[in-house]
Amino acid sequence: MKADAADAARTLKVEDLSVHYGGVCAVRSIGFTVEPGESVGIIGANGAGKTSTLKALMGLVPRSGGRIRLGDRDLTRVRARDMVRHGIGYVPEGRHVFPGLPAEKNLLLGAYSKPWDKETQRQLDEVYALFPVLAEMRDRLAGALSGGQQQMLAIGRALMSRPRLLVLDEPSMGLSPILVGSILDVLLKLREEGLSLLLVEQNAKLTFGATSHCLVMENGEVAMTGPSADLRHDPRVREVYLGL
Amino acid sequence: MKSRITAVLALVVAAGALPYGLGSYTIHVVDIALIYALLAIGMGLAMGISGQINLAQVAFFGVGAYCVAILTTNNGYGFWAAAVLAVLATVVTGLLVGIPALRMQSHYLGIVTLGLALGFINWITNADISGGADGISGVPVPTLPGVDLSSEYLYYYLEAVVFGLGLVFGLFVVHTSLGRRLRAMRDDALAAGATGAEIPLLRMTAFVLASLYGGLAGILYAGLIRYVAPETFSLGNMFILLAMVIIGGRRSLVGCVVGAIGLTLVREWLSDFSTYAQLGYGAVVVLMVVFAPTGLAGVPARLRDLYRRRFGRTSDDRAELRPFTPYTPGPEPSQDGPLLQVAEVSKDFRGLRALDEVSLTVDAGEIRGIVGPNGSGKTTLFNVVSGFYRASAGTVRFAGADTTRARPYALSLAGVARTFQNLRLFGQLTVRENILVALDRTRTYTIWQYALWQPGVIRRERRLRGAAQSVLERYGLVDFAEAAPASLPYGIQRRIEIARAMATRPRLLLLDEPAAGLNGEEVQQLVRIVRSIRDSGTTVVLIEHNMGLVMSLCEKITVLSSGKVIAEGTPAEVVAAPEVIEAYLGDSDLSELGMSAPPSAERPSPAKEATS
Repeated sequence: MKADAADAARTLKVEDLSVHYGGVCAVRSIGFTVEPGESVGIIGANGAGKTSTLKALMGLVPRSGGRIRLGDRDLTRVRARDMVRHGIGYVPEGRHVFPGLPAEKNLLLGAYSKPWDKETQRQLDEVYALFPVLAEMRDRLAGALSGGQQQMLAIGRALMSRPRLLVLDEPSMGLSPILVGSILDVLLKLREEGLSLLLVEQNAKLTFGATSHCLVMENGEVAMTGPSADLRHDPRVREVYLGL
Repeated sequence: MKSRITAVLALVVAAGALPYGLGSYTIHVVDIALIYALLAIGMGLAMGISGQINLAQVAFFGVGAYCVAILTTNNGYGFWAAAVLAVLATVVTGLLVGIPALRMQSHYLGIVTLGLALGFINWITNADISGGADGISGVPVPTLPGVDLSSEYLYYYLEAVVFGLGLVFGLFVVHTSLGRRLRAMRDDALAAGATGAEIPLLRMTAFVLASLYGGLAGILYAGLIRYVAPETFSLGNMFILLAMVIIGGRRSLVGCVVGAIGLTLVREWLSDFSTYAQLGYGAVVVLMVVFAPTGLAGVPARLRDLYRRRFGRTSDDRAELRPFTPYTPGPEPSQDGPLLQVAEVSKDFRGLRALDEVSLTVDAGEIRGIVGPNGSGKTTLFNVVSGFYRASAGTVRFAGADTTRARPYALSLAGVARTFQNLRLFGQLTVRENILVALDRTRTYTIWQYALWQPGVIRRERRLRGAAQSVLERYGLVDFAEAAPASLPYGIQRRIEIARAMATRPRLLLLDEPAAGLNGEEVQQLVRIVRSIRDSGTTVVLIEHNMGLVMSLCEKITVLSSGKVIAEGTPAEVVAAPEVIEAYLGDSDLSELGMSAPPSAERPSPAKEATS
């Protein structure tokens, strides 16, 4: 019973979310839910509104409408900087690490919203266990890390706030096939630990490997939804969005 | 257009009629305001348009005024002869003040130019020739046949004409090729260099423009007041000038003018409360920077945006990326030797060896893929080839010439173009202007036309605009022509990067991860674009992690790992090599990488077809 209550508290529910830039509608009243421990992917063409959806969810661009709930809490009016306090971690498109700070400081900044305690150190050790290469590079400036290491750093930084839901925008961009493989392994491991994921991704391997459910976006709307396993074999999805 | 001409005409008429309604003191204030407006245009051109922090504008102002005063009272020159020499002296000063800009930028440049201005103020306060703290009085009235310029009413017309010409010339510069290059340099000097802009010369040009306006203002000031003294050129006035430019909007010359005239008038009203006036300017500047960083000039656009967000009808016609129109196949490139030869190139960064004796030869008409783990030195190699980095050892030869030490602009003019992995579009320019910057293949010295042969500039501008339209149409970007690049999705920005690089009409195109952030269908379009580019006669080298794209496009692949070439060969050879699998591919399931389906079956051997 107790576990159920905790689970209910983690369901992300997005309703009627819209985003306008100037007079142009980028996202048109879309809705979706991410159940606890579920992993949802969003695919679609460039300009379909995937990144705008994530940014609007995080409060990084103004929403022109919509409601966001995480469990029984209403996050509609929560500012971007407070989202992390409600248990949502965000890995932005293009990494956005702090290039002038050492890797470890980047990670610690991810725990900025939490009091510094033993838990922080434990979390740091966990991130290093997940990404051993970051432990080796802990004193290297983030700007001097390779693209793949920066991506791991961005994910590690988001994990430092001990989120219950991790939102990732194109984590595979610019990564070698071998690193896409290790990002997939990491996402699967996080899912096993019970973390919910919301993933925008172009890479077929990562999208279908890491998610249980997918939305296909087109012109700012949800064109199709379904279990990833079904979409994976949908000829239209394969051809148009994944080039398989 | 028509309403715009009417508005300008109305302004001219109003400016002409203005003195009839004003008292003798007010016209004096207006005369001063116009002088500050000229100074502000110069500041705007250096700071807002070119991004060169110039805090020496009062010194340029002073050099102009003092030259006239000294030459007329001390050396017996007539006013106009002295004025011509004063302009020359100011421009020379501008060049000297601009030299530090070759080495430093942003706040460092601000400190240096401020120091130079301070030095100038100290010098005029102490030197005998400038009359010390008392200054120089008795500057003669400028002579003009039939016009008595000792009347401040008639002097107003002289100033209005100089100001009008100055503003028109400034706007002409901003909206044509020189100004576009200056703005591109401001947004991203590296990318501007890669499109052929000679950055050092452009920085000097910015200071020459600023000093030219400063000198003109100084001459007009000497003729109006007929007395020059150090306090006019103080740092306090420099601050007010800066406030004018920031409040008005430094990126818009009209904004600078509005700021200058507005603040001069406000200063007159506040002259009874001079104790608090400076405090007031400071507060206004802070408020502007916080709430309207683009100044008064940016307010209309911000209001329009706000209005649209609140009440705007949501337009259903979403801008869309149109399909790419292929190039007409060019002639088979003449095969006299390789186009690009990289021989044993090494690059060290403080003990870290990013490239270790890399050798690579690319033939004309080839599409070469470069793959390798993250951090293996692929982008570093591009940076060496395109002149951003200088190789620590080894040589780079392009089209037979040694280009190891060539600068980015020289390589761009020689025919090397590139895109950037992390997108370096000129953020404050529209997409169309991004293309226009790259289309402009002239050297900086052609700016003599701005002084002596403006029709040449206009003709070139018309030609460039025509060419830009066809580039935009070819790449399907017409819907985004007037958009700011940063507001567009990654994939579209990537296409703009390719269009901009191709606008330089290169012989060699370096693509750094062109497929990053593209979905399957978009990768297919990219494959068609790159094929067409090669068929038009441009050799392509591309860095990419999307193995599906690399396998289907490239005849030959070079694999880098830890700065060394670990494999080279056909795609099939390379993906089978154990060291490549170990370092790069891992246990990737190739079908998931999109290798099962040949993406474009219609052109099995494009190089052959291109000849027909």
